[in-house]
Amino acid sequence: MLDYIYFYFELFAFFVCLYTYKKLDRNFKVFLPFLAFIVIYEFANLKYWTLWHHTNAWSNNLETIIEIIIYARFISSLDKRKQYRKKVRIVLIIIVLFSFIDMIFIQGFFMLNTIAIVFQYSMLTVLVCLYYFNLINNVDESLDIIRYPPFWATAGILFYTLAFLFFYIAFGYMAYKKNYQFFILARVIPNIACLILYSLLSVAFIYQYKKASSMNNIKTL
Amino acid sequence: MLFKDEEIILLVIAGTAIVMLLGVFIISFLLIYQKKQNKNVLEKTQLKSSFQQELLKTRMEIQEETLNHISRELHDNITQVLSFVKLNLGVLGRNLGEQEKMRVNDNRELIAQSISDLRNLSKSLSFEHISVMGLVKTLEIEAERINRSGIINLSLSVEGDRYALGEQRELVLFRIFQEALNNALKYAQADNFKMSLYYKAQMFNLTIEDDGVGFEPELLKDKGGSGLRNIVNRAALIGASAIINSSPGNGCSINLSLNPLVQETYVNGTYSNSPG
Repeated sequence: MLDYIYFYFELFAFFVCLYTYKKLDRNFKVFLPFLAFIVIYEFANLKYWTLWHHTNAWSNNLETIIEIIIYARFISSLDKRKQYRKKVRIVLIIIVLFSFIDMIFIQGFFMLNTIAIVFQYSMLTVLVCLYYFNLINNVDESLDIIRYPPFWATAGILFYTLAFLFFYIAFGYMAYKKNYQFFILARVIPNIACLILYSLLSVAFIYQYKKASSMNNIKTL
Repeated sequence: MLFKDEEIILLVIAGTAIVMLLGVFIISFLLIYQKKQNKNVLEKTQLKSSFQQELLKTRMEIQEETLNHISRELHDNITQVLSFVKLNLGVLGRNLGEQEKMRVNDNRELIAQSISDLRNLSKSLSFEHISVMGLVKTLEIEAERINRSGIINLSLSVEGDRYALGEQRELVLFRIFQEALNNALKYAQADNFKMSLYYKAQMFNLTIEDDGVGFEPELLKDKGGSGLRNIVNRAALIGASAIINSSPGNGCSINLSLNPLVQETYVNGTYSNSPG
C-alpha cells in the first residue's frame, strides 16, 4: 500500500486541479491535462501495461520529456520578459533534442535515459532558482508570498527535481547491479519526491482558487 | 573498484539530503526576505505618514505663531495708538465750538468702534483667548462680531452638556471654522452660515453649513481645493473625521466628528508659543 503512496498523491492533485480548474490562472490550466496524463500513465505502470521487452524505461523516458516541457513552459510563463522566455524555449529545445539523442544513440530506447533526466532536472532546478531570484528583485511590494500560488508550485518542482538528482546520477551504475538497498532507495525517493511535488501543487491550486474567489467577491461587492 | 556499493548508496542518501536541505534553505531565505521586505514597506509607509503629520503640525505651529504675533501687534500697538488718538481728540475737543466738538466726538466714537473691532479681531486670531474662554464662548463672540458686521448671517447652536475638548483640539476646531467661514465669504457668496455643536458622552460633532453656490465634489480631489483639504488634514491631526458634502447650487456642509475620550497622539505636544 505504501509503495503506491505517490500514485494517491497524483490522484489527489488531479482531483484538486479538476475542482479548482475554472478559477485557475491561464498558466495553471495546463496542469489538468498533464495530471490526467500522469495518473493514466502511473496506473498503466502499476498494471504493468507499459512493459515492453521486460521494461517500462522507454515510457519513463517519454514521460520525463513531457514533464520537462510542461514544467519548463510553466515556470517561464511566470516571467513577463519575452526575451527570457525565448531563451528558455531555446534551452528546452536543446535539452529535448539531447533527450532523443540519448534515447536513440547513447543509452538506448529500452534503457532509462538517466543522462538526459539529470540534464532535464538540472534545467528545472536552475529555472526555479532564476524565478526566485527574479521574484526577490522585482517583487510587488504588496505580495504575500505565503499565499502566492506560483511560489508553492515552483517549490514543489524544486524539491521534486532536487530529490531525484543524486538518485538518477547513481542510477545508471547501481540499478543494473540488482542491489537490494538501492532497490529500497528506488522505492523511497520517488515516493517522497512525488508526495512533496503533488501536495505543493495542490496547495498552489487551492490558493489560486481562494484568490480567484476573493477577487470575485470584491467584484460583486 | 573505486567505491563499494554501500558507499555509493550512502553518497546518494547524503547527497539527496544535502540538496533537499539546500532547497529548504532557498525557500526559507525567500520567505524571510519577503517578510523583511514587507516589514520595511510597512515602516516606510508609517514613516511617510508620520512625516506628513509632522509637516502639517509644523505648518500649523508657524501659522499659529504668525497669527499670535499679528494679534499682539493689533492689541499692543495699533489699538494703543488709536486709544492715544482718541484721547488727543478728546483734549482737542475741549477748545472747539459746539459744532466742531460734535464732529470730533463722532470721530472719537468711530475710533472707539475701531478699537473694539480690532480687540475682537485680535482675540479671534490669538489662541490664548480660545484657551482661556473655551471653544463655545469664542465662537459666540465671533458670531456676534460677524453678525454685527453684516457681511453674513451666522447662527450658532450648541446641544448637549458642554465639556472641554482640550486646548489643542479646540484651537484646531476654531481654525477649521475660520477656514470654512473664509471659504463661504470668499468663494461661496453665502448669505447664511450655520454652525452646530453636539456634545454627546462619547462623540463630539461639529456641523458647518452654508447656503452658497457650492462646488463639484471632484474639487476635493483637485489641487484647487487646498482650503478644503486643509480642513480634512487639520481634522485628521486631532483624530477627527471630516466629511465634506457639496454640489453646485446647494451650498456646502462640513461634518466633523471625534471621540473626546480618545487622546490623539499627534496633538499631545504643545505649540511653541502656547501657554502650556
